[in-house]
Amino acid sequence: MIQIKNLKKSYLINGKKTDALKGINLRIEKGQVFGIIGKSGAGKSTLLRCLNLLETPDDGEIIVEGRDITKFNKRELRDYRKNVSMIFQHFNLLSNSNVYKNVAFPLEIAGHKKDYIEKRVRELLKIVGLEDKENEYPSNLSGGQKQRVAIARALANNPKILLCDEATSALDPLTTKQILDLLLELNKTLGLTIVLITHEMDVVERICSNVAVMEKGEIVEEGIKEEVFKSPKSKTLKQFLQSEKGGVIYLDFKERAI
Amino acid sequence: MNEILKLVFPSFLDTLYMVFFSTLFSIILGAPLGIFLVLTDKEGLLKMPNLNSIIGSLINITRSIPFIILIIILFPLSRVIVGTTIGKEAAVVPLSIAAAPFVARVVESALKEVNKGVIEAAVSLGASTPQIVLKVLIKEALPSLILGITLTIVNIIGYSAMAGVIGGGGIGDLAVRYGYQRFRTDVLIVTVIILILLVEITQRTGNYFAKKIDRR
Repeated sequence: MIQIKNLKKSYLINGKKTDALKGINLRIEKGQVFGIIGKSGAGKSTLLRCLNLLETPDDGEIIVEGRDITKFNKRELRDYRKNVSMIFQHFNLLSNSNVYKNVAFPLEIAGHKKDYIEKRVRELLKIVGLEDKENEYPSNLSGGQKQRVAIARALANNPKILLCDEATSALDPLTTKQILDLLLELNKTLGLTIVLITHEMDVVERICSNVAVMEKGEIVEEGIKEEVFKSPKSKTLKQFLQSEKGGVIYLDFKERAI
Repeated sequence: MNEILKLVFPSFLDTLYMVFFSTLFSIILGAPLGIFLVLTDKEGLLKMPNLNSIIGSLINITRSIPFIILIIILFPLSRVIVGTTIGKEAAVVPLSIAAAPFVARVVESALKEVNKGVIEAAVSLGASTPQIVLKVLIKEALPSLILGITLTIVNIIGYSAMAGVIGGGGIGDLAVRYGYQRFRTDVLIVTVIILILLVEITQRTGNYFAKKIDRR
């Protein structure tokens, strides 16, 4: 469904060229919950943001359902983006619009009629369990509720793919579990393909079917979650799995301090 | 007292006239410029850094000309647009043009405050640039925009009094003709009080609405 071929991207940081993606090759099939893990700066966010062209790759192809999205013109790109939604770590809701208006936003920009929008918004709020909050403003909602609004908004135009950019990293463990359960349910009931990036192993273990590990702009291992986790090869994954067990949290902590 | 009132009231209406239309036209001229500056910024949606810096410089040049000189420079333009260089109608032309670059900067800074993540979310949902301007940028920045427009009105009230000095009409004109040239201190004091009240009411109204619609 999504095929990434030799994807490259570099940035100029203080006049120095830094490679964020060094020729990524990856295949994501329909219906998978695909987790991309790695430390900060490994390039996972850049990779995810290339999938809806929030970042423009320097080279390579991204083929989604047979079409190379990097060749799209502006109009094609806007239509494509209505099929590929994204949710974010900090939710990114319209702060001066209430829950209803936030969820209605993608429907309005797609040019739907008012009564369809009304029906669809109610439907979406029911899916995410916020029927009674449609008149609230985001500042009155908890983190978990905000992310539910963001999910409802992302689902509005019936996307086939959902991109999750550290979607649970700002949430507490219990709320994280609830949001992950919701995502998994959407994956099962709607057949939604989910691509997520995270630095939380817990997230991967709970919902991913497949996983790719990134280090310094490259994918160092990749495959079905159980198989990859059974025999980790990369340094990153070994560290992640160990710190999960509580063994080398100190090491992890020290690295973060640097 | 009655005599003063008879003098002041028509001038007060002239001031309101000048302030209202100058604000209106300065927004019509300045707001699109401000939006344009935000969009063409090097981190904006339409990245055109060269054009951005040219427009930015033009705005700075206009803003650095003292208002009293700007009025003189714009006399010919007033004559072309309203047919005269004297009176309240004539003053609207330089007032609008002097305030437009100010509005552009006010709008620019208000829109730049909008959370980048929210704009990104709108882009990721397939919104076009005009949709983002109307439904995201302006809507999210509305409280700051209202405060900015309030600031503009207060400035125009001050400028409009200045315009009175060279034949602009309104309260400033009255203050010069009676308060200064005829030594009528009582008229001068009344005009100052009216200006203070006008500014105070404008500012309080602006603050009230900005606060009321701010849900952040």
